[in-house]
Amino acid sequence: MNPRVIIESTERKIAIRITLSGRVQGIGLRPAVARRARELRLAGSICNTTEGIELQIEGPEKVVEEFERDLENYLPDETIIHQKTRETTKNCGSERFDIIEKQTSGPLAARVPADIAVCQDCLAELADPADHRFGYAFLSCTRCGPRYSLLHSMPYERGQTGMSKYDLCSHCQREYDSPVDCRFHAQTIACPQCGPRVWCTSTTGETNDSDTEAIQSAARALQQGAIVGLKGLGGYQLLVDATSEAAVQMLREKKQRLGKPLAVMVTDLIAARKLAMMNDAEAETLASPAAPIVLLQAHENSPIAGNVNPGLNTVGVMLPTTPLHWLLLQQCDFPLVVTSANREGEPLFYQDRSHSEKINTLADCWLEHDRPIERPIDDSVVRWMAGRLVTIRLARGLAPLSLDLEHPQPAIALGGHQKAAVALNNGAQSVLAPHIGDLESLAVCERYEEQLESLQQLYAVSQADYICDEHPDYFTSNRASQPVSRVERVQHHHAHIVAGMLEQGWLDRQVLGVAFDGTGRGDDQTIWGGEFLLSTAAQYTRVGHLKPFLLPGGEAAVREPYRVAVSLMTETLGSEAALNTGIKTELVRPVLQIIKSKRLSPRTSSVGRLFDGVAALVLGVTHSEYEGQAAMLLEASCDLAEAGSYEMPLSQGAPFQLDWRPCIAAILRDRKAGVSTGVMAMRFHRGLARGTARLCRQFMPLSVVLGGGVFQNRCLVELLAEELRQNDQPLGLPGRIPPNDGGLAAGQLAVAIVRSKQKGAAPCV
Amino acid sequence: LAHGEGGRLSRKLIQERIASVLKNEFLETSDDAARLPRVDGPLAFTTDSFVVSPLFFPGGDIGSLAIYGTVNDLAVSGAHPLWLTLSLILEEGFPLMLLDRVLQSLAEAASSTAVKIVAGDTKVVPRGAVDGLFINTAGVGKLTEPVPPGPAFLREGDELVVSGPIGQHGIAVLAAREQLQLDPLPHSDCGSLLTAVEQLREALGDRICCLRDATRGGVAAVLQEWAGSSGLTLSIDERCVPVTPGVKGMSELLGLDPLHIANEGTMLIAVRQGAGQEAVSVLQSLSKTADARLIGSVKGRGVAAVTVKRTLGLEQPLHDPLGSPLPRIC
Ligand SMILES: [Fe+3]
Ligand SMILES: [Mg+2]
Ligand SMILES: [Zn+2]
Ligand SMILES: [Zn+2]
Repeated sequence: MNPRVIIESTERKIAIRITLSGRVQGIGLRPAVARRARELRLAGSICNTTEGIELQIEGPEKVVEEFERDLENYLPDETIIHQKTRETTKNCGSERFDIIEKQTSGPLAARVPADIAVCQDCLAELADPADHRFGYAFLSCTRCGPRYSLLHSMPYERGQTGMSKYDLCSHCQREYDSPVDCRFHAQTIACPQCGPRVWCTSTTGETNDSDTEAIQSAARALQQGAIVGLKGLGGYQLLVDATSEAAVQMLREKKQRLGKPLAVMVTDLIAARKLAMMNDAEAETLASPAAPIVLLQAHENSPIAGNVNPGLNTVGVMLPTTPLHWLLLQQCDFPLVVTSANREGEPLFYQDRSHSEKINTLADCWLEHDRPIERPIDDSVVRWMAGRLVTIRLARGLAPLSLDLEHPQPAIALGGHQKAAVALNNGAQSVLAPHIGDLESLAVCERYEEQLESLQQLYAVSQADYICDEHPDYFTSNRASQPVSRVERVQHHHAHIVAGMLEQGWLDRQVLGVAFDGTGRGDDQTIWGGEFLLSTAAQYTRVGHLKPFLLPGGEAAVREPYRVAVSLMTETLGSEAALNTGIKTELVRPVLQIIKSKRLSPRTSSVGRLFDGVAALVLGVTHSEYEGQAAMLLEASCDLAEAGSYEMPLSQGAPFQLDWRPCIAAILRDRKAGVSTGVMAMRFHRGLARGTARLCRQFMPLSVVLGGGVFQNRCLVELLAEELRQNDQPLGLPGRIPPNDGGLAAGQLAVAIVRSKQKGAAPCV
Repeated sequence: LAHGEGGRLSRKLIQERIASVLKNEFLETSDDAARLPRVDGPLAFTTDSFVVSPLFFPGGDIGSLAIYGTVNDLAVSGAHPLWLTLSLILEEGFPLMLLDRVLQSLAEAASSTAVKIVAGDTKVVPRGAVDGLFINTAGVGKLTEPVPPGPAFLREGDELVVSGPIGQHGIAVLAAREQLQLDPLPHSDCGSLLTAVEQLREALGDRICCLRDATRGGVAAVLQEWAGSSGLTLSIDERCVPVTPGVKGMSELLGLDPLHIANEGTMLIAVRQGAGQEAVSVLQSLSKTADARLIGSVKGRGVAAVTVKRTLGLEQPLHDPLGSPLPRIC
């Protein structure tokens, strides 16, 4: 016998196949694994599938074992493995290790990758005159660049993205093929020779011929105080000099956006620190791959124009999303207001601009490019409170958000009416999809339909149950009742609470849910919004609520907080008192007339409305320019040094009621005594937190879960967290799922899935 | 009260009062049924019950309402009203003086529209069984060609016309019921649409697709119903819809949309593409419909059945509330 053969046979060759699902695509996992396999001289292949990753590896048994043993160390940090399978297979005798593409089908189990803001390495290249991509607005690498916004289908491959129309030049191809290059298998690789181009068009139609010139001319326009339209990552944006009151005012007029705060973009953390105070966690969030808008405490003498965030002490700050944003900021020595290019109430614009008269008139010049936006997505908004990062708007970089919910039966939760977002389960995974908008305008309703359809395609969901709110007149509930599928209805505040339970991983237990928000339909046909719900994931009992009051003129009272103030005062001290409060008599008198009528003045237990009424009394806010304005102004005016609080006693009985009357009486007294607004605002916040905690204590030792838009209020959340800490009562604070109606769909989906599991588990009779 | 008790005596008394006010050749006979002359061609036949609180409101009362309601229903269906029946259900103890006022108003409305009340009935029921007075009228009319085909035959491009300022009846009744002290006091539009419809039909003929008096649920309810039967989207522009300053102010105070408020003498008309302006001119030449306007058009079916472009230019789906509206905004 030939001894050589004997030697080879002791070095037994094996082949294995590993599949991974979870967050495994769009993060550079395949190139990382391929690099390792090649180092070890193993053969095989790796590809993205609808399941996630399929890895085939073969070679000497010992080496394969070594590869397997330390595989996880070589995966990118962003990797999240949801499921892993392993089996041994036949050797296929291949010599090389390749990254391959494969046609697969079936429900999508791989996570759809979120967009990633330009990374530090890419920024360094961008600034390096010697680099091939110096000043190139579309550079990206395996660790950064557009993902979700550029995808038309999964798995994540260049051919399935908006980059498919650009053929790689030889330079890019070399990098793409080279395992040692940071762009080894970077799906969005591009360079000035082969990739997208940028140009600047003024309203008179002139354009520039080089990328650099285009960016310079946009920067010049900004310097001159003009509005620049920019084709961003997930949609068109409007930019102005954030230090120019006049430019900001012009932007507000064009956009028809009154007082609602605007976000500001700066080059880096150093620039950000000039505008706002931040701790390490906040700084880290700003610079994180998602690069969201972070709500920060504004410096008192920040250079930002006062009309960027009128009446507020917070400012939304973000760092550059794309190289294009960064390059533009390099040319400007001031921060930029960055907001979506659409009129207030209209959806984010992302299609071909040449077809849209409406959009064209919003800006003085447009900095744009030929890379398509496949999926519109807004900027995300987050805020740190009580030591937790809370998502206020789930969008770019954070969405789609994976939810820890599994069920074989596909289901689609349609969300609420404002801040609409969809959650879906395709049988293989559940996600909360990006924020769409308020379903008040036709165009947003159309966008909602378009997004729903495109999500269903992306996640391969055709036949699904629908889940919606109990309010009969939401656009989403009307949509659900189209006779196509089974419909499950979930009470608004129960959905808020279950979203919070899902956030905590507490779907298996009973909690005391505290749902404070603006409005939602209650079981008794009144408007709820200050609810204490003893909840499981499937059911709830209303064990407490804010003492109800009248809402004179229904929806009109939501827009005009002074009506609520009149209602609260009338109930506390009679209508005479309401006439003597400083609110104009011509406003008060008509309200006093209609408040007598049950039909014209529905009842509500909403804490959001209580905030409105108190803001009207304390700050004189009579009309609301945007949703939540009164409450935001009240929070902003709080004097944090004030230790006092207004009394909000619990009235005994089932359900418990939190009585605001002593608080209103005290406010009126304090006003007369000339107590400062900051002190009154703080006493109100503290009083509400204490009253809430007192009610929670009745249900010790149950954990408390918070839900509803009122809990975007950092002052209230932190006071309440402190009170409950003293109670020693466990508290589930909001986190990745927005506490406002943007998170409603996640709660709806969880309720439906748990109910459906319980039905399935019930013994057959 | 004597005539509140046994019924027979009181009913007789009341019927005499009625007959004396509503004199005509058919009512004179005391038969169980009215005998009516032959009519050539197809007929339209409708009935409606009228319950309104309060019974008297600025601009009208339950009596005129009961006549105009049925006359208008016949008119917008393409019929010329001929005969009405009248049924009164009275609460025991209802003041005769008020009854006389209602009957007087009823008689005037009937004579102004040249319809005859040919049969009637009165019941007195125990206290609490009705709220003062309920009235039912039924009406027969002769259909005249060309009969408008109706909302199922709406086409893309058809134009929508409203015959006058909207929301006046609902606001007037609401203000009276809730005893709101308003200046000026809102008046109901309660009145006949007969002349307007006949003139319009004469001028436009088969270019009229459908007409409807926008009573309960207001213009919005008619739009929703037409969108439902046609499978198309009806789009209107709020800035073109006539609303009096009084109705505008009141609906803002009450948080109501005038499009949802009831009318009793205002109609919506759908005409074929290009005929809208002509319809408006015909209506504007009549004093009762001098404020008629072209308010929108019919489009292919979109995500919403009815859309309305609001004052600031934002186009919204028109809310179709089930029952009493609950706020949706936070
Ligand atoms: Fe809510
Ligand atoms: Mg009728
Ligand atoms: Zn990068
Ligand atoms: Zn290239």
